[in-house]
Amino acid sequence: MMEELAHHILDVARNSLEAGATRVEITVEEDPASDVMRFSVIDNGSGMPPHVLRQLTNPFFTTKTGKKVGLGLPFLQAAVERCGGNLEIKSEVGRGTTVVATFPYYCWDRPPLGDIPRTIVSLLVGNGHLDLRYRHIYNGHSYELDTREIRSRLKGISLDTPEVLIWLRQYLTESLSILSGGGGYEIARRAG
Amino acid sequence: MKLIDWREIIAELELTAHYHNALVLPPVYGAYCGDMMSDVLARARRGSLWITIQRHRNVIAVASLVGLSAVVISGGRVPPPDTVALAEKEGVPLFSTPLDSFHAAGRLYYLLTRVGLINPTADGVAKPQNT
Repeated sequence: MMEELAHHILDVARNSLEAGATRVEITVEEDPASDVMRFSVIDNGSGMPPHVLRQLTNPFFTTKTGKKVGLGLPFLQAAVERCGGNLEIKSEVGRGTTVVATFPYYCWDRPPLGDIPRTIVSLLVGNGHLDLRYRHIYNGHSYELDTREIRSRLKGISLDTPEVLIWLRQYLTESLSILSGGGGYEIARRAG
Repeated sequence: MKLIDWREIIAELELTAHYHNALVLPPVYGAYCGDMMSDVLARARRGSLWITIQRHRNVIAVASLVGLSAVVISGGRVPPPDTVALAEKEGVPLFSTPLDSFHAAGRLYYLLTRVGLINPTADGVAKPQNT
């Protein structure tokens, strides 16, 4: 079930991998003062022609064979619309795709951000060669993680060995907690 | 007015408690069922029991704001530790059930009707809304 934004991010980024992306950039921007919660996924995958792009939020459209419905992006579209937010998808064949979802920060029906470290680690499992950049901006302060940098320090150990992924998840959890000034920052939101 | 015994609600809805057992359970005068926070905020009534599949912390915030008697998370879903902690802090009785929302609501509807807390011919009718 898509109960967290982190699940939507994972779904969108998995589309990137299926489109043959070798580099994926994920950014989460939390700006309570401006009432904005935004995430973007930018990839260098195969991109989509305009006729596919137009169909993306149609639940009865899918590029996967043997499947009648594709609900990933329609669900994200619905989540965004429920809060009066905005979903923007840009794509160019041969260059890649950009998905930007913007939500009001203070909306009762906005899914909580959820477990980002789990999403990042899930993407890397079986994709040790993926260049993944994760950037998190909270109240103007930012944190960044780039697997290229981690990989260079691992000196040949694959990024998706279990021990590395366990460490990475822990490291991300701690870093994001520090960024937001200690755990439990996404306290129950007040109504808009 | 007659009330339903909490023991009966717990047995009938197959509830598991996720709160401190020192908490005194408030009376249940009705119920609401829904997963969209804004809808529950707008339509659930004080003193009602709320059945939902949502389990993040906003559930507790909504329950506390509306003054709901208890929250039941349905479908065999279990609340995460941060939700349980917030429920304890706010004094909101939190339960989970293996029943899905439809069946949990159905059983509760029967209990509430039996003691006369629900009027089957008049209650729960929403005003028509413009789309």
